[in-house]
Amino acid sequence: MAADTVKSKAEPDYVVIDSGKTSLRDLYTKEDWMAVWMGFVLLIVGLLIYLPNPPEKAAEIPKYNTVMKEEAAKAPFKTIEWHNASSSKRGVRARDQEFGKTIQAFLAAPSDWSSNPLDAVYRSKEAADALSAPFKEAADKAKAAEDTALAAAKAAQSAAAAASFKDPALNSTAEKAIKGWQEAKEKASKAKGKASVKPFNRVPYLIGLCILLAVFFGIGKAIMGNSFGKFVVGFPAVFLLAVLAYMAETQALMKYWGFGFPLWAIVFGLLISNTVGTPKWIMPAVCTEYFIKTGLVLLGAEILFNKILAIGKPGIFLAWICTPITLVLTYWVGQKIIKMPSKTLNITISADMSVCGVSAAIATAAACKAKKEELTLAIGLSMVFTAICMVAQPAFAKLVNMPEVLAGAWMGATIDSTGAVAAAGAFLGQKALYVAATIKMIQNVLIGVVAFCVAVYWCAKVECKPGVSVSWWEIWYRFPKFVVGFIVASIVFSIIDQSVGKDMSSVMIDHGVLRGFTRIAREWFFALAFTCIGLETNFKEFGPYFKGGKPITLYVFGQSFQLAFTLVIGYIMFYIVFPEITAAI
Amino acid sequence: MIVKETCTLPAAGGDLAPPAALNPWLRLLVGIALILFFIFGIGSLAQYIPGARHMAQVIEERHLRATAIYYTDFEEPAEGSERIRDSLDYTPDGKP
Repeated sequence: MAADTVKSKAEPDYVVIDSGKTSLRDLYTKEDWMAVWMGFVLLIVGLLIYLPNPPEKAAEIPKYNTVMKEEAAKAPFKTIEWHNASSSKRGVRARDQEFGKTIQAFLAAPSDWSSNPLDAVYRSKEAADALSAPFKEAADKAKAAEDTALAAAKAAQSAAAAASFKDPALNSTAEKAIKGWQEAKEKASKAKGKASVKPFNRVPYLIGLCILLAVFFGIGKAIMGNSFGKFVVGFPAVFLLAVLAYMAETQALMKYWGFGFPLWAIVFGLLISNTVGTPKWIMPAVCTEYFIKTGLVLLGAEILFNKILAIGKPGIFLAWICTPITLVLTYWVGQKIIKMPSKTLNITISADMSVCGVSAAIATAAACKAKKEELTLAIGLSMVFTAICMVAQPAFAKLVNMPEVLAGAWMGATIDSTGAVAAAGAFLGQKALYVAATIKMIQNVLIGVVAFCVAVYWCAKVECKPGVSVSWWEIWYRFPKFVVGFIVASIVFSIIDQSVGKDMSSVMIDHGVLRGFTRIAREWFFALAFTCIGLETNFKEFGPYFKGGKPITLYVFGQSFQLAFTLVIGYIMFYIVFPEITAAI
Repeated sequence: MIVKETCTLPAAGGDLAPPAALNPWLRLLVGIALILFFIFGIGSLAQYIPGARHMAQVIEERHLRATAIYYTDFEEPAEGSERIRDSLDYTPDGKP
């Protein structure tokens, strides 16, 4: 371990440093490998559930594409028929089938609530009706406005068509009328959602999920030689805290601030461990690494490399050129100028700040074997700065009248949290929202590469004595093995994603296996992992990391550089080099 | 050769808690009270901060999940990228 690393006396390392020897037994006795097998089992189950069962509407997709192609050739703007075809295509989702809905209901986290926490897990029919009632009138009005806007759009389009789409003034009028209809349709859709609140009772599902997860992970523990019984006894307490963390996230006021379940899971865990102490009977189920690595293997399947082409070359430049430059520069400044107390803390904060917040922090911290306090600190910093940036950046963009595409691209590449990016984009408008969310999605995919590179760099360089060359075998011994599962999952799912084609990939992989099953499971595993981090952490361990405010200095430097650098590159890419893409969006 | 380090869980049953100046259960209650104050007290300040109020409205109206940590955690990245893909694949080019 590097001499300048902050060492904890009371706590073990967050991630185990592997033995210099390896054997076949490691495949079923080490948590790294067990996480890989557990993750693979779930991914295979997900594929077996969804791939053989495409929705019937999937057969209509070529028809929708033909309509869009014909309409695109006919008019110089997106016609009503073009929009309807695109919308119908997006509505085809494997997870919307009955079996998909059942799986999602079983795995669902607690719902939104405002003053009574029980509302998060149980809503009677009367309560659902009461929640819907105030919005019914607004929904009817929004629907009427949509119908009016559609009639106006049809009239304007007919006028433009009558002139064979050769009159620029009529075309412009039609385009504006269609845009107005799209906005009215969006509002009507959201209003309808609010006016159709459904009753639910999540308690039986949560109990069932707790039992299922206890048995699933308990079997893994038993194979590794630990007690199944002790794990199963302690697990419900960890699960309960994870449920409470979700409930804190979904509280009406907290969801506006962007404080998600990872932060709350750590807070609730810390509250227990630093007051009454974590009871002994819970400790066999406090398995941070086990949960987090299994979750990361599942996350690997969500790293689909085809996504990086979603917005063409400008997106690649912004998310895959600017971001790594910011990451490397921030780490270098952290080491050479700020002199961070720990290399692992430095890289975790650098990745978290430059890539995509919590998810990047988790993957990087696990890859470089950071301590749990370091991961916690990085996540805390990220959430505080995210809360600031998600309000300040769109306000600034509005103040300077920044074009929506540029603002969306800028915010998508610089605000840490993926969800906050969408909120910031929505602050400015629909186009900014979709560009911001898409850029963030491309940037999300980068965490696979970052985690792999950090793992290799740490094994080959950081953990070595200066001047001593390391053999490939040594690197393999030290390499965090779950990263192998993480990368394999990413490659396999990227290949499947590519082989089924863009449209079917969206229907079967993105809106099927991932969003309909493994994504929800992954989120639960992370919630359990963060709860465990809190349960085995002492407040005092954070003290040395705050010395001199270095983590904050590092974060502020990196974020400031990224804000300026990305804005300049975004402008060059979207308005000078590829203006035709900006115009098409 | 790398020295083997094993990860042993810290002793539980209160070992993680710092020496008690207050009764541990009292400290737990104080902690819970502080969290509730944060959620319902500090949290409500959003409506008094310029910009934050509008942001809260946007999140509410669109039912956005601002806490999502990955693009698969909410709908907007999928919807946005699919819309953009259609726009780029089927760009209207009917010349006026």
